[in-house]
Amino acid sequence: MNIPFLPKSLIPGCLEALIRKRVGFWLEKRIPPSDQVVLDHRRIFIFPTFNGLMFLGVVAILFLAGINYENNLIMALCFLLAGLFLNGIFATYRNLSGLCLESAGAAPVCTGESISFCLKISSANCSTGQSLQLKIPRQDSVMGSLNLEGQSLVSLPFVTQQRGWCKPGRFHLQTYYPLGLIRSWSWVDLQLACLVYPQPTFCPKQNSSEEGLGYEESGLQEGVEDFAELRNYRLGDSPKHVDWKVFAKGRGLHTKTYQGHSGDSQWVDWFSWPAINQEKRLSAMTYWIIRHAKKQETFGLRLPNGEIPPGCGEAHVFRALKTVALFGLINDE
Amino acid sequence: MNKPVIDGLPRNIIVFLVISHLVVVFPHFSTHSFWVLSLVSLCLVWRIGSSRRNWPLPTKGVRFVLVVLGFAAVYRAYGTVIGPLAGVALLILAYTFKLLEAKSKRDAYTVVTLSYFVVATAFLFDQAFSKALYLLFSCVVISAALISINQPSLQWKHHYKNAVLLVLKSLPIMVILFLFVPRVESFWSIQFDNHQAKVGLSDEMSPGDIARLGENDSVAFRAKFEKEPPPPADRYWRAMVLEDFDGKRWRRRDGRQSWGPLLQSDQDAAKEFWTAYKTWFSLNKTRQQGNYYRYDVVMEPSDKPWLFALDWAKPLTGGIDMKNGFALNAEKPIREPFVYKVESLDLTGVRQAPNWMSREFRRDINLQLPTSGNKRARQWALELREKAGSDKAFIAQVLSHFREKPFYYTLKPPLLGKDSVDQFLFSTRRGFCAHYASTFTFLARSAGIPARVVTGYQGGEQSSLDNYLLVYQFDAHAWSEVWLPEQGWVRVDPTAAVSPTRIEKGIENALGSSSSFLAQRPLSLLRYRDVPALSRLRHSMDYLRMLWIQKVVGYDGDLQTDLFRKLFGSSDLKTVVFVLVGSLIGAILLIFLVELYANRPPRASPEQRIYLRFCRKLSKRGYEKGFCEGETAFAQRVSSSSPELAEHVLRITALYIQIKYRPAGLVKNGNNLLVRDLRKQVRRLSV
Repeated sequence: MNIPFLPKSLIPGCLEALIRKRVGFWLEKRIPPSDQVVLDHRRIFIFPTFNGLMFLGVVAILFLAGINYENNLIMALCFLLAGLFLNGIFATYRNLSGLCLESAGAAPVCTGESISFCLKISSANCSTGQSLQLKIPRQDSVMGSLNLEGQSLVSLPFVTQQRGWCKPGRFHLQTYYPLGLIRSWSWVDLQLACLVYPQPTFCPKQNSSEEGLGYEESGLQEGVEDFAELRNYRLGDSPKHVDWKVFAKGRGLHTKTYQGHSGDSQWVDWFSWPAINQEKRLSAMTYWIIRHAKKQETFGLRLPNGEIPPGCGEAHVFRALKTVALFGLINDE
Repeated sequence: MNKPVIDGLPRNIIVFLVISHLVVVFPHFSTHSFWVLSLVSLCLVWRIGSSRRNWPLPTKGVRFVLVVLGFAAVYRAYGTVIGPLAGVALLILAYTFKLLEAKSKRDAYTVVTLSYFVVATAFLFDQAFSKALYLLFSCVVISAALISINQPSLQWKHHYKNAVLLVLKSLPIMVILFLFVPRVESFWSIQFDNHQAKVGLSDEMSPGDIARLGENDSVAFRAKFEKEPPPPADRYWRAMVLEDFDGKRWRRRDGRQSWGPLLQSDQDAAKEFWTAYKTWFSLNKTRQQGNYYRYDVVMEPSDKPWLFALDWAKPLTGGIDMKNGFALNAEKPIREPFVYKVESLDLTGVRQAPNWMSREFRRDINLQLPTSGNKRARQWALELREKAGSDKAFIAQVLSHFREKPFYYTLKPPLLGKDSVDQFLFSTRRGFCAHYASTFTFLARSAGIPARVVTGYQGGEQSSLDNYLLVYQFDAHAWSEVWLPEQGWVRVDPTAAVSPTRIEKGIENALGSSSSFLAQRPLSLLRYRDVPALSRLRHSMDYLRMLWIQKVVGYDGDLQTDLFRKLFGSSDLKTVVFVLVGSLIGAILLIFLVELYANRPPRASPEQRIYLRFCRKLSKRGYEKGFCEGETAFAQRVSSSSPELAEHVLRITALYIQIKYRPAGLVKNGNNLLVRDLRKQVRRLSV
C-alpha cells in the first residue's frame, strides 16, 4: 500500500512502515474500495497549504497592525481576509464534494509501457470539480476539470514495470481550487486493474526447423494448412476464414478452422528457448503471440503447466497473452 | 489546458497579477513622487513586454540596480527610507519588483500576499468610506488573481464572478468578527507620524489666521446632541485659551498645566481643582442649574491635540485632559477621525463664581501686556475705566463703542503696522473676530481687568437629517473672557457687538452678499445653502460620513461593550466568546444553506413530475425503472410481462416522450394540452 502521507526524513523507517500500515487500514475502513466512489465528507480531507498558512500570517499581521494603529479599517480588511479564508475552506471542499468517480477501464499494455486508467468523473453540480489533480503515487499527475455538463474523462497514467495484474491501488485526487489556500484531497480506490503483458522481445525459436526467414516461408504456406472443422462465426474472426459458400446457401456465417502444420512454428512453446531465463522466455513468447496475432495465424500455446490448443481470433490471442502474463504468478482474478 | 508558458507562469496569470497591481497601487498614485511612480511603471511595462513579446526578464545584476534605484528614488522623494510614506513607497516598490521577477506559482502567491499589505497601508492615510469601498473592490480583483493561479484555463469572467461571490460571502463573517472580536488595547503602540498638512486652528493667533479659515468650507467637527442643541447665539465651541500677548500675536500661557482628569499625583492643586470641578458639575446637574448638554463630537483629523466643547465641559471619553483655560486636549494630535463624548453645563445665569474657577485664575498672567506700544489705546482704556466707574460698565462702554463707531466686519481687512491696536481702534476699523477679540482683550487689560482671548468655533449648521450640528472651518472664531470677581470668567464677544448676524446667522450672512463668502470656491455646495435640495444632499453625505466615522472608524472597546450590553445584556468574557463563536457558526451555516439553495437540482418540469408519479404507480406492481433504463425499454419490459397494462403503459410512455423531446420552438399551449392529456392518462392507470 503506497500512502505517501508522511515526509520520509522525519520518522525512522520501521515506525514509518507501521504508520503507513495503520493509515492504510484506516483508509480501507473509511473509504472502502469500490467500483464507484462518491466523494462526501467522510472521504474528503482538507488542510491549509503553505500559501494558506502564509495567508493566515498576513491576517495575523494585519490584526496586530490594526490594534497598534487603532485603525478599524485595517481590522476590517483583516476580518474580510479571514472570511475569505473560511469561505475558501468551503469552496475547496465543495469542489470535491459530490464528485462521482468511476473506473472506465484500461487497455492492457506491455511491461514498460504506460497504462491509461480511464476515469469517469461526474457531478450533479456542474460548477464543481474544477482544477482536479489526479495522481497514482510515484506516477505523473494529470489535471482535469469537469465540463459544463458536469462530466469529465481523465486518464491516469501508470508506467508499468512488471507483468501480471497491475493494481495501483489507491490514487490521489486533490484540488487547490479556488484560492489555493486550502488543499482538499481524497484517496480513492476504484479497484483499478489492468493486465500487463510481458515486454515482447524478439528471440528466434531455437529448436524449430524454420527460424527467422524460414518462419516467413512457413507463414506463406498458410493456404495448405489442413482444414479441421467448421464452427459458428464469432465476432472478430477473420473474413478470410469465413465459409462464404455455406453463407451463400443461407446457413449463416461459419468460420473454417484449420489444423496447423505439425511443425512447431505454429506453437508458441515454452520449450523453444531452453537457454534463457523465465522472464525472457515469456517476453519471447509474447513477441511470437503478437506476431501470430498480427498475421491472423492459428497458433497454440504450450507452457510447463499446460497448453492452449491452437486457435485464432481476438479472444484466443487475449487468452494466450493473459496466460503468459500471469504465468507463475499467484493471482486472484 | 496548455497555454503558452513564459518562465513557468502562464500568460493569463500575469495578466491578472498586473491588473490587480494597477488596482492596488492606484490609491497611492497621488501620494507618491514622480520617481517612485516612474520606476513602478517601468517595471510594469517590462513585465507586460516579457509576457507579450518575450522580452527577457531582468537578470540578477539588473535586479540589483533596480533595487538601488528604488532606494534612491524613495530617498530623493522623502529624504529618508524609514517613516510612513517612505515605508509605503518601499513596500510598493518591493511588490512591483516581485511581480516583475515572478517566475513560478509560488512567486505569484508572494506577489498576492504583498498586495494585501499594500491595500492595508492605504488605510493608514485615509479611512474614508469611499476608500473602504475601493479597497473592497481591490480585494475582489486580488481574489480573482488568486483564482486565476489555480485555474488558469477558465475565462476571466468566471474568475471575476467567483471572486465577487467569495468576497460577498465573506462580508457577513467580516461584519461579525468586526463587531464581536474583543478589541484589545494596544499595549505596545508604535505610532508613526503621519503628518499631513491639515487646516484648523493653530495655537497662536495673529490677525489674519482666522481669515484664512474663513475661506475653508471643510467640516471641522459635528456635534450630535442627545436632546435639543443650544440656540445659535450660545454655540461657542472652546478650543484653547490664549493668554500671552507680545504686541502682535496671542499665544498660550507658558508652563502649561493639566487640570483635568489625567492627574499626576504630585499636582495637588490640579487634583483639588478636578475634585471641586466634578462636585460642582454633578451638584448643578442634579439641581438642574444652567443648561445641561450631553453630546458626541465627531471630529475630522486636525493634526492638533485640541478638542472642542461648549462651556463648561467635562469629558466622558477617556484619554482627554483639561488644560489651562478649561480647554479639552487629547493626549496626542488627532490624525484620524476622532469621536468623543462630552457633557457641558452652561453657566449663563449662575451668579456666583464657582470656587474651582479661582484655582486656575492667575491675575498676573491675565493682566500681562507688552512693555511698550499702543500708547493711545492704553490711554483711552484707562480714561474710559475711570469714567465708567465699574468693570461691567467699562465692558459695556467698549462694546457700545464698537457698535456705534463705524466698525466693519470683513474677512479682507487692511494690513496693520506696528501699533496694530491703535491703528485698528482709531483708523482702519475694519476687521473680523480676531481683531475685535484681540483689541478688546488689550483694552480690558489696559484698564486693569484680567482678560484673555479664547479661540474655537462659533455657530454650527443644524443638519436636516438628525439632531446634530455641522461646524465648518469657516466657523472659526475668537472671543474674549474677562474675570469679574463675583462671577469668575465671563465671556465677552466684541464681534457680536459689531456684527450680531455673525453670531446669530453665521459668517455667510455676516458678510452680506454671497460674493465674498467662499469666493474662491465656486463649486462648493455650501455656497448654495438656500437651495433645500442641495442642502439635503450635503447633509446626507455628511451624515453618512459621520455615521461611518462614529460607528465604523470609531468603533472601539467602549462601543463594543455598549453593543454587547444592548444586545445580550452582558459583556463579560463568557458572553463575548459565546456570541462570537455562535454567530460565526450561524454565519457559516447561513452561507452553507444559501449555497445549497443556489446549487439545488433544477426543478422537475410538469411532465417529469407526472412521469415520476407513473413510475411510482408501476413500482407498486413491482416494476422499478432502472437508473440507466430508457423510458421505452422500461415500457416494453412492463408490457411484455404484464400484457394487460401494455396498451396503457405504452401510450403514456409515447406521450411523455413526445412532450419531452418536442422541439423547443413549438407552441406552448399545445404542450399544455399534451401535459393535461398525460396527467389524465396517468390518473386513469390502475395497477
